[in-house]
Amino acid sequence: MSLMKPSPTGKSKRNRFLGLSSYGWARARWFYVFVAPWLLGLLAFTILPVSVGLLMSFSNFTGSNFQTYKWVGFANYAEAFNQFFHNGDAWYSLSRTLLFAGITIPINISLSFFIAILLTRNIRGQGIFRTLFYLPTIIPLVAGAWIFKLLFDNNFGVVNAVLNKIIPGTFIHWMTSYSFWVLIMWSVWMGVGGAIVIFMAGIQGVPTDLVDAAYIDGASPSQLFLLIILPLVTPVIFYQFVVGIIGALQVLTQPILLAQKANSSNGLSTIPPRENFMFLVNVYQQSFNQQRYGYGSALLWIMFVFILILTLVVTISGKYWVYYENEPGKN
Amino acid sequence: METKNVTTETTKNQTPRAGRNPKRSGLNRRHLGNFFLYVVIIALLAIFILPIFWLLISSLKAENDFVKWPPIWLPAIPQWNNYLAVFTNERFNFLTQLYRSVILALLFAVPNVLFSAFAGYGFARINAPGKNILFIILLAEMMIPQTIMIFPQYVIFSRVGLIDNPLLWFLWGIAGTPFQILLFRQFFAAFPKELEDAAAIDGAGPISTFIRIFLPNARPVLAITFLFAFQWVWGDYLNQQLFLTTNSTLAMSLATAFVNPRGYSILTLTMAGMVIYTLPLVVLFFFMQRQLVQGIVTTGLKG
Repeated sequence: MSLMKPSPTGKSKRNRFLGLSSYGWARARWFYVFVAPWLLGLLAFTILPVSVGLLMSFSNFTGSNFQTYKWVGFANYAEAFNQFFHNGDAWYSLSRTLLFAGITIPINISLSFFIAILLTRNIRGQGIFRTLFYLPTIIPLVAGAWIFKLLFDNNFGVVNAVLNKIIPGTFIHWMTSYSFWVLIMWSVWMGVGGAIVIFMAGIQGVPTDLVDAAYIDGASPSQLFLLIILPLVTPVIFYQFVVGIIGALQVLTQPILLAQKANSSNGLSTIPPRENFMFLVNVYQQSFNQQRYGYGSALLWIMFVFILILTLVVTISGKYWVYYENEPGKN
Repeated sequence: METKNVTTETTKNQTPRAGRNPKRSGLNRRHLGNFFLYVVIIALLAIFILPIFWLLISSLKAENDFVKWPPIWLPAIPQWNNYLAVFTNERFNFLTQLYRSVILALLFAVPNVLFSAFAGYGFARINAPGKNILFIILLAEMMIPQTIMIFPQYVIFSRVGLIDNPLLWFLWGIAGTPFQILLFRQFFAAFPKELEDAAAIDGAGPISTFIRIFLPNARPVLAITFLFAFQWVWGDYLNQQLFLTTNSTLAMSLATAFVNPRGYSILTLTMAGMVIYTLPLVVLFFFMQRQLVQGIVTTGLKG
């Protein structure tokens, strides 16, 4: 996709600057007008906070010591890495988050892929099914939290009631002992709908002539799937992987909402049970509750770099398993 | 078109649509497992819909039935009164919070859609030096984890008086969102050049071309970007809890449930409030689902 089309207006050879005639410049100026609001917003709401965060991570800023804070060099980073190597909170929360990502992402991808395959077969009501599977995605987080708290309630939850019907006497303390799994189920429930839509588009985008040719050659359904559909959908799987990693490592609101009791005024300061003590929950605790913005920012930057590295690893590994449209000459 | 000897040229040009196109029947053995297929789909769907169904059921229960064991699946007498009580109970301030939530969502969504379209038009239709670099920056912006900014933002906003200030959402809206800008860019890039030229001959400048020709013709994208923007704010808890402290919205108050005068939470009414809170999104979604799917697919696959 070419971003720059050759300027149709630059006819005069004189007065050219950066390849544009004066008329071209008169029009080009408008481009900057059009992107100015976005660019200013980018400066104010992204570049400025990111830089401030970076500066904070090298200081002992507490959120209020604007006059007296000191630069502490890499001390915050040193502390974070010390925690990583000595099983501190930072390491513990990171390991919980990685476990969460490592379980949620594969379930999400395989389940949505599976449902997308079912829905792209010759069935009636395909659109309706897709819509209904997408429905959980638009339920707000606050509502989703309450729904799952009710479903998995220790005392009057439906899930325990159903389990009790199947195996009488089962009584699982979901919210107190297995809230990690409740969190995972909630995330899968929320995440699958969007992925189904993208997978369905990917599967339907598989050229019909390829499928027909394979069919005429006598390919079995499983061969058709493994040799034609799966390779052609690998870009979607790849995309889901990258988006999944970025999303799952940033999980923050969900564990907090899940832990929030009715009638509590703790808000975001609610501390989830230990098993749901995610990386950003720790950052929140350090920044807002312990007033250690400096250390919290250092943790955020470590996470940022960590996400970058993971994304990079997935991208590089993608060369070996992601199918790209055949580029002529490259083979 | 149903015969086997259609040339590959024509099949290529068709958009493959499973379920309609008889040529796709190569994929499945119709008589072997169609019944089984429906059973699996409906069973999975039941699991996905049950939680939403349970929210509805819970909102219709009487206070006493709420915590009963074994749980009551269908309340004998649905308490439709719960919905009325949510609005009439003065302690909850439901209408005020509903109003705040609507205002906050609109305060973000309206400028967000307009200014995303504005920037999208620039990226799609006007050439200028540095455009490629800015476009790469736009894409990179999408990759920055949002949470990395939240904590420093709090520090900055508290210095400039943007905490507890709905104006913040308006400013966020003006800044646009890379995701939305990209949607508009894709859409505007496909507009015929003649439209623009005709406007230029009539003496219209870029801004009036954008307002008079591009914006009115972008209705499907306007609708879908509005839905996305509205949903972000409406369903968002983190930013509201962090940056709006005293003026609580629906998301904030519902998170901790409604409380009766003696300090006990009233979950039935909270769930009724939750249904009212969720409903606008569901309604918007059902009206715009076609564009929504299109939007997800374009940004998901091509973006």
